[in-house]
Amino acid sequence: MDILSLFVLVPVLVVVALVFTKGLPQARLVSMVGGLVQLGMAINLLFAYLRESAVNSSIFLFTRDIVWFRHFNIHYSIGVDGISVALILLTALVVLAGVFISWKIDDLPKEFFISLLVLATGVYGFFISTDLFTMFLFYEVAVIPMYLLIGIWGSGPKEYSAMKLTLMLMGASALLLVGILGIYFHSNADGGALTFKLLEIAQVNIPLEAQKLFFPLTFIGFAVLGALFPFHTWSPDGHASAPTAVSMLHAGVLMKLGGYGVFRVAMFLLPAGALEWSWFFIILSAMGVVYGAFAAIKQTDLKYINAYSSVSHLGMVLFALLMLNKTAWNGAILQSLSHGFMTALFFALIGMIYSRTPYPGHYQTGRAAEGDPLYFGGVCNCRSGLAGPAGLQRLCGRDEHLCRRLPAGGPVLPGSHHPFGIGHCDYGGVHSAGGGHYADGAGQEPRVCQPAAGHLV
Amino acid sequence: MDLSTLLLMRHEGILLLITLLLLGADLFMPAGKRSSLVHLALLLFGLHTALGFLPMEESSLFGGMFRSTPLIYFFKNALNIGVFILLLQSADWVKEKILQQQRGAEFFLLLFFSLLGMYFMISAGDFLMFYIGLELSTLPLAALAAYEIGKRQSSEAGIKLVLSAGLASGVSLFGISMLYATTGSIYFEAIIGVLSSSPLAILGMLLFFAGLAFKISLVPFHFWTADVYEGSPIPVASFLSVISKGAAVFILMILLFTVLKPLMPVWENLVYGLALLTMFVGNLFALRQQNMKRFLAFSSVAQAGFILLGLITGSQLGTATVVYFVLIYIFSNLAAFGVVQAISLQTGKENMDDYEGLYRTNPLLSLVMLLALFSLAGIPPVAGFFGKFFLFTAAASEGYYLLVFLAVVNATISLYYYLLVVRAMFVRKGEHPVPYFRNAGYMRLGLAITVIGILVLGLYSPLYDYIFELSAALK
Repeated sequence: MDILSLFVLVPVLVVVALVFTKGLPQARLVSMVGGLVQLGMAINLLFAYLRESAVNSSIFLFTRDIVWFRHFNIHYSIGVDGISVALILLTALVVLAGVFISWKIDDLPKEFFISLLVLATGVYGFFISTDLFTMFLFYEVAVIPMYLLIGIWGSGPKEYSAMKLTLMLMGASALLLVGILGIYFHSNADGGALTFKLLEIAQVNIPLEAQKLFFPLTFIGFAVLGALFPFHTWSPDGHASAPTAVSMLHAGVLMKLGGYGVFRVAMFLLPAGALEWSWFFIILSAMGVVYGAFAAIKQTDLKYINAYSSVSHLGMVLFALLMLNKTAWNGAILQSLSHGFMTALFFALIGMIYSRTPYPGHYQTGRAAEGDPLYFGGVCNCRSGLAGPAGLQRLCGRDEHLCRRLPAGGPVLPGSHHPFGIGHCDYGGVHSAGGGHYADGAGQEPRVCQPAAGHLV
Repeated sequence: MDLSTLLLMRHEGILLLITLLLLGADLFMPAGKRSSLVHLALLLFGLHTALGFLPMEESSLFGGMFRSTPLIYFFKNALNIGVFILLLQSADWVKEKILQQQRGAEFFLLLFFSLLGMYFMISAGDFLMFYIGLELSTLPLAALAAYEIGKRQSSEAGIKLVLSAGLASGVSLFGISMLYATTGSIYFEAIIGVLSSSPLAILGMLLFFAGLAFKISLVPFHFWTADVYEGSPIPVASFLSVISKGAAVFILMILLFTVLKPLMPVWENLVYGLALLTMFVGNLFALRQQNMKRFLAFSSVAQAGFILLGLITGSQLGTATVVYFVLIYIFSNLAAFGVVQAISLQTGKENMDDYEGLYRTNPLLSLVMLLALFSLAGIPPVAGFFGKFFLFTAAASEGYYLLVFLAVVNATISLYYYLLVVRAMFVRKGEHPVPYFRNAGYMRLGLAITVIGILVLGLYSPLYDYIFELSAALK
């Protein structure tokens, strides 16, 4: 078994093990062990990749290729480059944190962790795939558990949000499927065989007409998952209704699938199409950046704030990707990563605040600071991370954006609502709820913060 | 003629024998032991299914009236597996509801004769054999639909089915006579050479197509579907939606891809339009159904629309993807009908509302339903995903990108109503959930086979390779 297939196998094994568990304590223990193993594997993969890349200059490392459906030339073909390694590490961290934050989930705990790990399987599989078919398969595997996760364990208008999210993402995969089939049936343009393999397709000169036709399909198909304006509306509702761990995974990891897919499939395989269409999508993503930021300012619910801020940030990632040059791509990927860590941490903290206070709005969380300085510190830290002051990792991502021809003021916007939020939290209305109310923290939760917060600096 | 060539009709011969055996057993069986009829039927049919997999040679009988090829054997075996699962799932229903009323072997008799008709229909080498097969497969179904004598709806279903089926087969026969008028022959082999796209031939083809479209319940020939499914006993609805539809798809494909190939420029457009119409109407009507049988009826109308995506290609790839999809559809739809059947038998409930909170009382049953619905909706990693993806690939291989796009949009619409059932079972708690119950052994076995099929058929790629090679026969 190779080092990458383990990333699909281990979550599946954990799911199988979970089937045989009884009750919350066993289920969370198994999931925690599984999460730790995955994190260990991800760290191991990182170092292995660093060693290997020093001596091997191929695009994808640790490749493996097994023929699956011979007549369609579908392969189970895997491999990683630096981007996927980093995103796998991000996933492993967020999954583990998600298990910790769900430590006290009381309703159908076993099923919750199973759905969570099925989702994780899909995400890992997506990041290691280098074949369009398997990529698409894992993409859908990652999306569908969201319905159950939000529908069963969510809050608020959960049935509505779950249905909206699932249908919008699956609807997007309609475009994506046509795009993928279009690429597939033009992959023999240079006289070779039809293929789904990324590297082989990348060497084919797909005719310009086909690229122009299929680029927008593929791009939108993935970018809906990256909350491209105006297809972002699933995101705030979905994030706000989802249980904490799911918001973390979704904003932290799943939305990155969108950006990664745009980069790896739409732009990598259809470069001429990208050149033709970039102006149009640049406008859309810039609108997303601005719109998301303004919408976030007006929200009163912490989860909505973060959800809209994610729309804004992901818009920035798409924007940078569309600049079609290497510096911007580096920035986009760095931005993806840092946003993944921070937004997951932020959702975790929101979850903690929610579980301690009956009020959903951030105006109402005024006393949080008095109650538990640790959490509040985390919130401030995290928010300022998102807003991007010097010293935090995200700034690097931001600076590289600035090198590009970003409209002035653009980068400031996504950050600007966070100071508002802190202001409200800090000095907001005083409520009768005593400070002590906040202090009965579950022992597990600080553990969530530490790995994530540690990463910020 | 050497008598051993009759072995080519092995499927038909054994099935006939089984039916007669059951009739005899029914006569001589003491009244107290009638329930062993069910075991006997299952045992015999299980043997028959297994025997079907023995290798057989490719040849034809009666001067080309009856043909047998490996692909046709495969079709028959697929139908056999479906019927076997269906028998497992309906064993308790037969025991509790049918045998109590002193009616035993007729159920099996009618079911098996209908299957026999399908065998002949698929194996037909000329239009006469085809027509006899078509009639033989349809008429017993009308009797089966009206099988619950005490229920008015059931009688209504029976009369509806027999009237519309009669009309459809009449129209089909009219079409066949026109094809005969233009070509001078009813033998497929002879027609292939001389058929040209004269107006009369096209009209004949259209009328002939309409007859089969009725059996597959393509829109606008679907009006009987929901009412008949709702009125008939669940095993019969299941048989109509899975086995009968599958057989009709097979023969339609054989005829379109061989005999009617010269008319492809015409039927291509026809199939295109019908595919769109069937998918949209089926899906949009399914959205608002509350009764699970009606719900599955419209869902199966919509699935037929997806099948047309493979038929439109007229190629080996199209054949392979259609056969593969139908095989997967047999398992998925039987799983869904099986769960509906189990719940209806225990509680008499058939509405979607009644499924609320099902997961909390009957987790395994809900999981079977979940897998079945995901497979019907085409969600990976279950088999339905592969079936649909390959169908779409087949259609895209001929450049029908717009059709594929609209089909995937339809798949998304269908996901909505499949998720409605998932929502009822998993998300909602329900005020009066179905209490916990344990299914009888046969039902559990029947459901287990479908689940294995749903999980394995997609991931196990050699099966598709095998089907693809078989499909070379139809080009």
